[in-house]
This record gives sequence, structure tokens and C-alpha cells, in this order.
Amino acid sequence: LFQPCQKMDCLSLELVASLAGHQDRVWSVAWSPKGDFLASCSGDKTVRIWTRRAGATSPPAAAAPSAATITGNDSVNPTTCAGSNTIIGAQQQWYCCAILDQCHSRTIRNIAWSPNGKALATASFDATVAIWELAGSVWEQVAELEGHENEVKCVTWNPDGRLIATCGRDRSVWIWESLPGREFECVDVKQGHTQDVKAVRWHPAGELLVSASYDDTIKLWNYDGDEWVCSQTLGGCGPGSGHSSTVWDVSWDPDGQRLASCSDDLTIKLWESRAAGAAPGPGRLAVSGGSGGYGGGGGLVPSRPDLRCGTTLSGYHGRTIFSLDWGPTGLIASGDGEDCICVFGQGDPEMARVVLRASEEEARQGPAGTNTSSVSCDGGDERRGGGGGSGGGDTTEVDPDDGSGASGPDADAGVSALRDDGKERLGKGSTGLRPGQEGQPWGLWTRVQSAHDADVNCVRWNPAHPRLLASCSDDRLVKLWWLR
Amino acid sequence: MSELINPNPIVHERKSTIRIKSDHRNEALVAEGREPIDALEIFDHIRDINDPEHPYTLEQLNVVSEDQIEVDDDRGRVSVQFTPTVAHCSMATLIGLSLRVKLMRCLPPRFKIDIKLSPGSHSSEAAVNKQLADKERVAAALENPNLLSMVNRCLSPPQESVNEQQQQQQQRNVGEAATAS
Repeated sequence: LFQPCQKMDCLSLELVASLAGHQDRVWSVAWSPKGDFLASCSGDKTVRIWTRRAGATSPPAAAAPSAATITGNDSVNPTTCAGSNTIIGAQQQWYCCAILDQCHSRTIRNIAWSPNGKALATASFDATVAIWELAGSVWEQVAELEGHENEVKCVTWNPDGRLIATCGRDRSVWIWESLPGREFECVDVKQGHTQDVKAVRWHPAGELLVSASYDDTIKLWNYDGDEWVCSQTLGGCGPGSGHSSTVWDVSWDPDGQRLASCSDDLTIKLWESRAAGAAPGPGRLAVSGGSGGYGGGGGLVPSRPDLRCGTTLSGYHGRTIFSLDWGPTGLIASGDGEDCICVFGQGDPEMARVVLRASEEEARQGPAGTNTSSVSCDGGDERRGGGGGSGGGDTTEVDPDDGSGASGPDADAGVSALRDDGKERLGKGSTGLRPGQEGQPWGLWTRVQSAHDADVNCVRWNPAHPRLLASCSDDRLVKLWWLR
Repeated sequence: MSELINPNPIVHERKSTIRIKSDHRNEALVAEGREPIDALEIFDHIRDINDPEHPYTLEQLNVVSEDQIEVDDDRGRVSVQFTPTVAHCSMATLIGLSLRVKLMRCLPPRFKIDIKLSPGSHSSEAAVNKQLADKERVAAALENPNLLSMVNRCLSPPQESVNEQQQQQQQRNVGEAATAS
């Protein structure tokens, strides 16, 4: 099925921590907005919050009762891992600093942090959503959202923290408003999906909500001033129109221009605006924050989505892809039912390796290090639309109807391997480290087989340390990985 | 349960199976002291699961058979196809769920289990297969105490459940006889 390519060896995901404690499968993980805490939720009806001991790079002393740290595992020798990165030590001392329990009566399926990092929402098979706040050093439940008829499968806060979206097996998407005094009011209930809704995610600009369903479709929802309406449905119109089985997860790229989705049909699809071909080059994708930064110059306008499938990544997964995450580096991580974690990128992974190494050097030298100027990419000898990036699977790309300006290699345009305006540092904002090369074909850059001993249910990149990846599994573990 | 979906199922004999030791063995497994899991072993796990409706096992009703089982021990994959007694059987999901639960309980966690209807054996084949393949739906279903107890009744040792079902059958017969007279 899959033939690894030599180029894949230049990048790897290294295990840096393996966190045990949950008494049942772990369904989801979520990083706090600053990336300093990781929350995980489980069939054991609890949430665990994990964090790193400040400054420690040596093994901990006697473990405290709540500390559940296992560093490394049998297949990773900690001494050989001692890498060159000093930002986060190769042997990381992660421990469980809080357990949220005695709230839900059934599996907790999903968790989400509020944008200010002060609240957590938990979605449960018991048909409720709980809101938690940190009071001093203790997490307390402060609200409960009731309304779904049965299992709630996903919960997500919008970027300004005013709204929460939820979805579940009752086929509906609910939108709740956060009011003063820890009150929450349901402002809309959206029917439309014909089956179980698996995931909901907000666009980084707000204004636009995406839902993914067992009915094989993806729906986009916008507010029309009065209520939320379904402004677009991706798929569901017969063969070739979208996914051919349950869509499990969706994720926006760091610029909010493209959407990635993963499915039981064993593919990942990348969706982009029909207008995207008009103005090639990195300039138009610059993010200035707020919705003003999105959609300028022919890109996606969140209030009027017009997505179509530009790329399908198939042949890389042998079983259901349960989760994917498009990280701040522009790389896409996925977790599947064959216990694997994959990382996809655009262009030449060898280039990416150079970039990553350069950024490691820079970080070691400290903020005074010189910036790498834009590096023109010579890995672009493949036409956009040519088959197969660096992996053995089949990457099919649909050429845009109107013809894309980015159809060939354009070394002079300086397709930046490192997007750096001199102010952004590694780990700061989405215009920091971008090892991939825009406009180049997608390929598989690294794959960890047997990343876990069972299905990988969720993968999430750390928002502040963009090379740190969290994963969780039916094997009851949460694992942390570092991209080298 | 006053009306059975299939009041007159065809009942087969329980086959007696003799395990023939094959010469071809995975040497690594032998070194570990472990026999590779094969189709017969899977069949042994599932043959005596009770049909939810009738006082017979899935083997007796030909719902499962050894030749509808595929096992790849090296890769840790098991595939079971089952054939409900009638094409519109509403118990198909329950039977599929019982198969999945039995194998989950009996096999090492490294095994990936696929349960499907035999092609062409059911009017809602795709829909049933999709539900059985969705592990989130399965997990949520098994948290439902009513459904879980139905599954456990199917998985309980044959004698108890068969007696129960036969008693129910007798009561129905008596009831019918009473109303007929």
C-alpha cells in the first residue's frame, strides 16, 4: 500500500513524553492558548491537565501522588534523544497537575479552552456540556449546557470567547452565547446534517463555523444578522464531490485560507476558496490579525465561503483517519486507526529540514540571531498538479478552473521557505516558522508507525511551540512528540 | 416480543471441529510460546453466541461460520462476516454488536476487528456496516445500560439463555393455545 521514500527520513517525530493516568481510552487533547497546559479527556469520565515542570531536564525526585510522569518509552532511549534544542529539553518532565471529575456521568468526548485560557468546556456522552473555571488552583464547574438529545461529540469556543458551538449524535449544531455571570444561552440550533455530527470548529476570524458529519458532508455556517445559516455544503452530491464516508475532523490553516478534513474514506482533503488562484505568492496571505487580514486579494472571505476541493491525500492511511490538525508551521498532522501519526508538508522536506535546523540554531543563539532571508525553492520541478510529493501515496490535485498563476516553479518570486519578517520569532504567532513551501505539491514528510498501541484519536500542535505535537489514543496514553 | 421476525428459522447442527496442527508455524511466535490466532479460534469465540430472538446459537442458525472469518495474526486483523436469517432483520445491528463485544473481550488489544454483513444478506447492508464500523457509535451504544444488557444476554452461557428463551417460547405457545380454544 505504501512505499516510504528516502526523503522521509530527513524529518522525524521524536517521542518526548508518554503520559499515563487515564483509566480508559483518551478521546481528545487540547492545548491551552499559551501552550503551557494540555488537557485530555477520557472514557473514564475525567479530564486531566498536564504541564511541564519549570526548568527541569533531569529525572524527577520522588513522584508526588498526582504526578504521573513517564518520560520516553521502551523504544526511545532518553540519552540518545538529548538533542540540540534547548527550548524544551529532550527529556521533558510532564506531570498531571489537575484532574476534573465527578461531573459527567458518561464518557467525556471533547474539551476546549476559552481563548483567554481561564475556562474549559467539556462535551460528554451524557448529553451535557460543562463549563469549568480555575478558582485559585482548583478547577470548578461553573455552568452546565443542556439541550442536546443525546451524546455531545465536540465543543469549541469562537476566537473572541463570546460563543460556544457544540454538536452531537442528534444531528444538530448548537450555538451558545456566553453572558455575564457565567450564564450561557442557546442562541441557535441548526438542523441540516442528516446524521451524527462529529466535529465543529470556528474559523480563526470568527464569523464562520464548520461542522463535519457521519453523513459524509462538511457544512459551513455564517451569521446573517438574525440567525446562523448553512452557507455551503461540501460533498454529498454524488461521487467525486467530497468525502465518501464519515468526516471525523476539520482544521483551518494558520492563515484561515484553507480547510483540511479527514475521513473514514481514508483520505485527507484540502479545500480552498475558488478565488484563491487569482493572486499567487505569500504576500496576500499575510496575517495582520482580525478579519481584516483574511480574504484580501482574492482569497477566502469568511462571511462568504466558496470552498472547493483542491487536493486529496490518499494512499497514506489504511484505516479511518480520526483526527488532523493544521499547525502554525503550515504542516498537517494526522492520527489514524492503524495507530500511526503522519505529518504532511508542501514542497521538499529536505528544505524543511534546513529551515528547522536554522531555526534551532537561531533559538540557541537567542533573540539576537540573524534572520534567514527568504530562500528560493528549487524543489519545485514538479508542476502543481503533478503526482506524488515525497510519499508513496497518491496525491491528486485538481487544477483550478480559471487556471492558477502558481502553476510552475518560480524561483525568482522567492517562494519563502522561511516566512520571517524579522519580528516574528519561533513560537510567536502564525507567521513564524514555515518550513513548507507554498504552492508546492503536498507530500508525506514523516510517519510514526505504532505511535501508540491502539487507535490514535486526536493530534494537536502546540500553538506556542509549533514543533511540539500532542496525541492521544485508545491505549489510554497521551504522548508528546517533537518534530526534528 | 410477541412477533418474531423470523418465526421459522432453519436450524443447523453444531459442527464438531477437530483442530489439525499445521506444520507451518510462525517460528517467532513458537519461540514466545504463543500459537498464532486463526479462524477456528475466532469461530470458537463466536459460535455459541445466542441469537437475540431464537433459542439457538449463531452457529446453529448459520449466522456465522468458519469460512466467513479471516484472520491475519501478524498484522493483528480479524474480519468476520455474518448472515442474518432474514434480509430485513432488525436484530442485525444487535448481532453485529454482540460479535464485536465478544471479540473485544477475548482478543488481545492489538487486534483490529471488522464486523460486516455478508454481501447481499441484508436490505440495509451499508447502513448497518457503517454503524458497526464506527467505534464512537459503538462505544456510546455500549454505555446504554439497556443495550448493554441485551448484548450480555446474547453473550451469556448458552444454557441460561436458551432455557430463558425456551421458557418464553413455551409461554407463548400456551398463550396461543389458550386464545385458540
